[in-house]
Amino acid sequence: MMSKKGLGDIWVYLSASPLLWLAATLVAYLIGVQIYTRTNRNPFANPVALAALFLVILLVVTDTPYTTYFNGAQFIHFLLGPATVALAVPLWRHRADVRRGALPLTIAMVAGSITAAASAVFVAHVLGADRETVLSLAPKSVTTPIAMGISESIGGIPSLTAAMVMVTGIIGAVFGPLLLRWLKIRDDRAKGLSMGMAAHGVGTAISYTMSPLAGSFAGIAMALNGLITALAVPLLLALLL
Amino acid sequence: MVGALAMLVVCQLIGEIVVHGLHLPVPGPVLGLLLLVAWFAWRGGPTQTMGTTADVILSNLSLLFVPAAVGIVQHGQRFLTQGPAIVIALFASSILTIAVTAYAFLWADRRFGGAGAAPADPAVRHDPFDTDTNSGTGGAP
Repeated sequence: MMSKKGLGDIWVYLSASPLLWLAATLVAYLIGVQIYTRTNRNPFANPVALAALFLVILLVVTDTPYTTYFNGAQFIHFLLGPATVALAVPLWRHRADVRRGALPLTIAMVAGSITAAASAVFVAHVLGADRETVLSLAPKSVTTPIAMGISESIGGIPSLTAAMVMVTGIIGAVFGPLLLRWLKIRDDRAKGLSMGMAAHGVGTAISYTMSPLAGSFAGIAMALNGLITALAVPLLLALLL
Repeated sequence: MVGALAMLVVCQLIGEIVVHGLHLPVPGPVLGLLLLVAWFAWRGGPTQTMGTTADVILSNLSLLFVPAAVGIVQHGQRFLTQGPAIVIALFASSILTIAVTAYAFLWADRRFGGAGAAPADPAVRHDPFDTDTNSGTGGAP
């Protein structure tokens, strides 16, 4: 009796403290990484997807609201900003490749950005998704903070956009490498660029596993896709809807 | 290490201030990134510590997306009712975007790139899932 009550008290205390969910996020990620390495880096065992799956199950089972979870997880989430700034380092190291490829890079990024937004909006619209869903989908290939900003300005639901951004990232991380192999694309710059374009930071993380050069190009694509999409999406929606 | 972290955070901070002050359509961290590149250009490149710090952070980039990914739990209802439309749209769009971007780059590179051959896969393999941060200094020296 006593010990059961004691455990309950500890749970009530811990479940509301940031420590528990910070620890849970780290452990879930480590388990995800273990599974990913043990399965020989099978793209289907993506560590982000696995960790998120474990944590979602945990939240649902313990009936914990996302805001409580995020109280702890925000310490990790916060590092996304400094990590984005840190992309300056690989960008600097590969500046020669970037300068040489400036024009092809720009052409590919404009083409990719328009394709990403237009195709998602078109397919969802045709399949009968409601207007809010369609609008929230438009910036889904852009990195989370920018995507949420774009979503808000065009009348979507920012937090729904954030969820779609993550699903997009995971789809890109899982199927992107398979697709690139299937299309026989061997140029690391093209690989990184397309992964960063379609799957933002999650694609960039995967591109680093291919090579630092691919990772840098993915970082460039991620950084500039936000800018291009912010400018292009309002125009595109005016044309499509 | 602390110096490099401070540098990253300060660049982000300046980026946020400028973006919010001038209402730019760019996120603060992206401007911070450009700022840091400009700093490197002025100082002749990153310090050793900055290089190591960036490598450690970027080697574990995947971890940083986990909290946002868990946010899906807030939209269970919408994913239940419109799930197929959303997932098919995201899937089709991802595949198309990757193919279009990669081919557009290869085409434009052949057409306009010219100078220098395309780099082959470097032999050095960077391990971003190496959780032992002491060895997370892979990549360029």
